[in-house]
Amino acid sequence: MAQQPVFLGQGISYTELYDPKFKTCSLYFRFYVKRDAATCAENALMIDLLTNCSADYPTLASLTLQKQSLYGASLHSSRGCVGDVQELTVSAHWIDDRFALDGASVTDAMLKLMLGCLLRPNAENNAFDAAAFRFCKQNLLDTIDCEINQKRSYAMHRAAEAAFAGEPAACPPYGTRESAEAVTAESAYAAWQRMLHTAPLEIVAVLPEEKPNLLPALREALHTLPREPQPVVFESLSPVKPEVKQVEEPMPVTQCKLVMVMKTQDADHDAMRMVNLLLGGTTGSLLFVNVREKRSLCYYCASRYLRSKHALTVDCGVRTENLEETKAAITEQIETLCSGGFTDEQMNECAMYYEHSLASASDSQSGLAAWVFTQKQTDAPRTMEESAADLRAVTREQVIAAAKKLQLDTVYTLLATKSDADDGEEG
Amino acid sequence: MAYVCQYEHTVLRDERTGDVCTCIQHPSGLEIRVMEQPGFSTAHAMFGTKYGSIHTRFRLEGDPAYTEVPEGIAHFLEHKLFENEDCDTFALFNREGACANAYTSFDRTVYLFSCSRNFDRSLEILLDFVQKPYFTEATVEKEQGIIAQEIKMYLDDPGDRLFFQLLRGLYHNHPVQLDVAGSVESIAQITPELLYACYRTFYNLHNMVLCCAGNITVEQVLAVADKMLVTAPKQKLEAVFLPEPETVVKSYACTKMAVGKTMFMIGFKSSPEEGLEELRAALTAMLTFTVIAGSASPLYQKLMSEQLINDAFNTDYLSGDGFFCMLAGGESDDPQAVLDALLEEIERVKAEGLDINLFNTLKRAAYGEAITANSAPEGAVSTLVDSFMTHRISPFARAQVLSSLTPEDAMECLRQRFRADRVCLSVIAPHTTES
Repeated sequence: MAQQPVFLGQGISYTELYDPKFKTCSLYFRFYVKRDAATCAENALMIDLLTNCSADYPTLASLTLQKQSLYGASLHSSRGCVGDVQELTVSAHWIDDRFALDGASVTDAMLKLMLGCLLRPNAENNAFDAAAFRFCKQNLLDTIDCEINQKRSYAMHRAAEAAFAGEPAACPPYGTRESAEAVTAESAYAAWQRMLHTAPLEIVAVLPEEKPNLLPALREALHTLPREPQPVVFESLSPVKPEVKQVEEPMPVTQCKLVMVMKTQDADHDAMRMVNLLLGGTTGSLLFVNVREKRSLCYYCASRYLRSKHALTVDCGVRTENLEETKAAITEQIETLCSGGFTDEQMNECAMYYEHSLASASDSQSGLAAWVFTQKQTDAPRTMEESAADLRAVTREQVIAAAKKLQLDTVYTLLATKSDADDGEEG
Repeated sequence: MAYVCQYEHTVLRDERTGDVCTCIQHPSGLEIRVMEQPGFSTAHAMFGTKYGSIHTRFRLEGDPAYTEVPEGIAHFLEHKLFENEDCDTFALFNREGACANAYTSFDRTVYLFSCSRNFDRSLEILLDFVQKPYFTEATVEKEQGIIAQEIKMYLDDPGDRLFFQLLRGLYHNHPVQLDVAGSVESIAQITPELLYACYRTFYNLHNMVLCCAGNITVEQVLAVADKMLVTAPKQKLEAVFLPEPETVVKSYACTKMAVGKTMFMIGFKSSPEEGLEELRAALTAMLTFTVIAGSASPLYQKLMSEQLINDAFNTDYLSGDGFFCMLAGGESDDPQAVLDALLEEIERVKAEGLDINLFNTLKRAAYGEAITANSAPEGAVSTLVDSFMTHRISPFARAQVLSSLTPEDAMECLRQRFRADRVCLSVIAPHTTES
């Protein structure tokens, strides 16, 4: 059951959902800021600092201890990007009050803790606490350095950098190492003030039952904030390059990573969602069946639709000697879509897959919150049922038309330069 | 009218949460565990066998000799079982709107699906394809190409390399040190005959479990089970491991890879346990390790302030048939200094005693985790499988065991399971770092 969103201040919206099947409570604060190379790093560092300590709990140890005493409640921050927008999220999860051993309200205690972290950080003289700042800065620098560790996601980020060069979406989600090194305890504090002052804020609670104290407490905490929210744009077209950009990055790894980025200029989003599912979104998709199963070229070969940039990516891990054959095989599958080489039954299976993914989302608090956030990013928010019905209404002709509008923009290859036996254990 | 199960069964109830699990001994030989969760939209099913990467040497009663099989064959068999004589099994699940998958770990292979419609039909498909192996030279050869790419993907994964390098440093003979997927060379030795031999040995219903959770009923599951399960003969299975010394193989191992910062994992090897004792040992050791090195501990503060660790630092455990070790890992420019500080703190606590307040606070936190473990179908079905694989204990045993743990248990655990002469440090260093 969902309540209608409540406005708690300029650019602050609160949505509460409750369902008795849940045993825990989840509360999300998501701030939206422009994705900007100059501020991505300090925003990322700042949001991490907010969940590391607070004025009430001035060290990580004291904050951790308080969360542990609240039956292992969690408080997390995350930094993500949607197209040209950076998302800064603080979320908390705790067991419902009915499971507390001593009868005390875990909800009240967690709300106090969370609001304290967000609104009363451990700071003085317009700067975050030095020790906490040093730890979080090192975390950020290490996160940026270690992006290379996960080769698949690294390849996806590098492909996005090339595909969206010159646009905000090219900025790495955590900023560059240079920009992270430049962040100070003062600039991070200024970023926190700027976020509270100007960032649109979506608050979502997913609860087992209505919590009468929650809304008044949020209203009380937030109503005095000076607010001048700066709107952000969640969907922005990316121009197609006149010539396909080819990027090759050699690395001492054993498997190449191939990413192909395609763009479209006037997306019919539901049709593109169907294109994505038919092409590489399920185990019945053209890429899975033909590139993986029939030709044994890859272990994974999948597609994703980036609604925010009207772009579709295909990525896979492949042997160096099979790179060209794999590119050709992927291109063949897209041509199959363009020529209508798919059945109504395949479209029906994709619709069922999507309906199941919505049902799965409705079975988890994070899934429900993600749905609310996604809908708030569109001009025409829909219910899950409406979204499922709209996908089912997509016709073959719409799929063919949408597929034909896809234009290859960028091909990124992480080029493997070593054999399996190149490195051995030492010591 | 309430459904009455006609087979031998036990109904287990978690008094704290109200969760109920029905464990049925089906006449086919299969154990079935069901958790009904009527408020949810989805249902999850897992059909698993106690057969994983560690089972490389085995025989059935009456066999004259042990069969030895190539590394990675359990995982290979998992891939191949999805292909039946007529079509790819994924296609059958897709037609019903279900999402299917499978996984192989050290001690188990599990086939699974989730759905929000047509549960009965999807369960029929699951029970049917796992009971009908179909292997040919051609299909085995085709799969070798796909799995070779999976193996290469893991070869480039520093977290995976770090972990298995540690296990090779800890274990002399136990096959837990072998990569679950094997190597490109080992899977090249796999033949249809070997796959059938493994299948006949381990995919006997007496060695397997079916677990279901979500918006389904016991009655519904049993109706499909009655229709699809083929009664299996009881057989005595013997999987053997070479004797494993208590000592570690080496105290340090390092590999260079394309990583952004040095990664490390520390392992403390100790004696394995079985059944409820394994769960008790694991929970005690985890609680103890969190008191010593968790983010509320003095050691964590010290390592953090000296910039020896970042927020990637964590602790964990690994246990199973013939192996038990505690793990701590993360990223650091000086992993040896982290290990030295950890060993020093362990010795200090052994001498001075444990912070009892912290122990009790962490126990309270563990209670909260136990409450949430089965809160949705996806987690609940995994709990059911885990509990069966851990010598068929109750899925609700975790909270009960936790409530019984004392600081004395933790001190004993510290003395037995955190020994400086049973430790190995595994390191993955960037190519630019000198070893």
